[in-house]
Amino acid sequence: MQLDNRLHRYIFTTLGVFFLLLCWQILSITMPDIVLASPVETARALARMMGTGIFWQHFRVTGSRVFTGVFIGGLAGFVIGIFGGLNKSVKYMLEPFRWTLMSTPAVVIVVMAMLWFGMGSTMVVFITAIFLAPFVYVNVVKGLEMVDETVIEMAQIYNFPFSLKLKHVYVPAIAGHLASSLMVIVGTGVRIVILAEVLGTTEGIGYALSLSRTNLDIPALFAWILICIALVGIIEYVILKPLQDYVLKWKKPTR
Amino acid sequence: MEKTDSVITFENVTKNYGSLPILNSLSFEIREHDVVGVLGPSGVGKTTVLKLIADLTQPSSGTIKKISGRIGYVFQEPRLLPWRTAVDNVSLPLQAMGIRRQIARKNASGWLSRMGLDKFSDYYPAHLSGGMLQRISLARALALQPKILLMDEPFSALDVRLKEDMLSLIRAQLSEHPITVLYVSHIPDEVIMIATRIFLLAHNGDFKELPITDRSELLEKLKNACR
Repeated sequence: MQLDNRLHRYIFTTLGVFFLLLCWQILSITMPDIVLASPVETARALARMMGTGIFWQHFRVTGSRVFTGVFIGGLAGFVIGIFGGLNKSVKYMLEPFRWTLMSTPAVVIVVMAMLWFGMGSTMVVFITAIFLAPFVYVNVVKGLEMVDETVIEMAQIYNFPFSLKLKHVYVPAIAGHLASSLMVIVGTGVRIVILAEVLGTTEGIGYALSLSRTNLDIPALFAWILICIALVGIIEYVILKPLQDYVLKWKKPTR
Repeated sequence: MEKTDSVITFENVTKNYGSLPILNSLSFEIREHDVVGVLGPSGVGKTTVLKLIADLTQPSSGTIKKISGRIGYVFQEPRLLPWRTAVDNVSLPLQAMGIRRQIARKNASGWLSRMGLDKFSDYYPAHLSGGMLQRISLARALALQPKILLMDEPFSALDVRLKEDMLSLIRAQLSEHPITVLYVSHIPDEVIMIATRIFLLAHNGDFKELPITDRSELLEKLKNACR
């Protein structure tokens, strides 16, 4: 009997998770406790942490920093990308900015932001937004450059005003690019926020991670890593995937 | 209906794409409610004539005069927005004219119904057949109630039966609501079914209007010219 596609995916993804846990367990047996916590120890530490208020405090702070950074960076990249994608002069003028932002090492921006904004949320959100905006910008510009010329010509013949063109031609045409760049920037956003928190904050998952490292609490360290992975997973599968399915529903074949 | 006013006038219009000459000193006049078939083999500039009328390109020299008013355009391929439903595709040009969304959608639904697509209003283009898409494209052009309807080989991708159905549909629409039509094709049988005037474009830039007297004789002549 041929398996249903969805069932097939679930079975093999679950097998993959078990295989990953098995590798982790085997590695943890062969390595000292100070280097690698086992999955069971990590689960215990996670359960213990989740019962405390401070855990949820760190989780909430990091979550809000990720959301704000991704929102500001994504929105800025999108709006500037629209201008750059529709106007070559703007695109050429923005090229040096894009190039500078995308080629500056992350740690340099973190150090500069710490100098400008001090420690805390403003610095973290600034770094996240400044890192993510160019990625969204590039995707929007590339997407707009690939919009079907014949559709644009149609909109021109029927005198679509700019607002109608933007809403019904340009934005839906780049929706696929936008959805995939959102997936990338959320994952990247979480990584940047955690990095910035490790280096320059007194609360958040990154700070908690650095505290666990200082205290050599390896199970807690791994528990926080699991939380980071879960945070990306939750955002991706609970928010972004349904959003992507919704904006691209016109592509789905009928039954 | 009495034909009086000139709707489109080409005066010595020349069009070159780079160094490649496409149209050479083309002059003609189209009157109100003329249904003009523009025939000629592929690559002689038939589509360019329509693009010039629709202001999608400018002449290299010469003058084009046309009355102000809406233009409907049915392209060779339907050019629908794939991410919008059939009814949205028809209603958006109406919204672009300033008609409120709800009224535009109601109007669009009416046109889709006339095209026999009332059950498919909420379908996306990817879920419809080629004939249905072309009918939506036609509904979009007619819903505007245009002064001029430009049709660029609109049914070249359809099978013979569907093509005849579509041409009958257009004839019925034109008898109900007469408008000025330019119908470009390289297939004489199609053009002769609806045209009241026939223009012939040739590769050497030669342009002439052929009188419609004996249709079967004209058809033979056109078939030879379009080879």
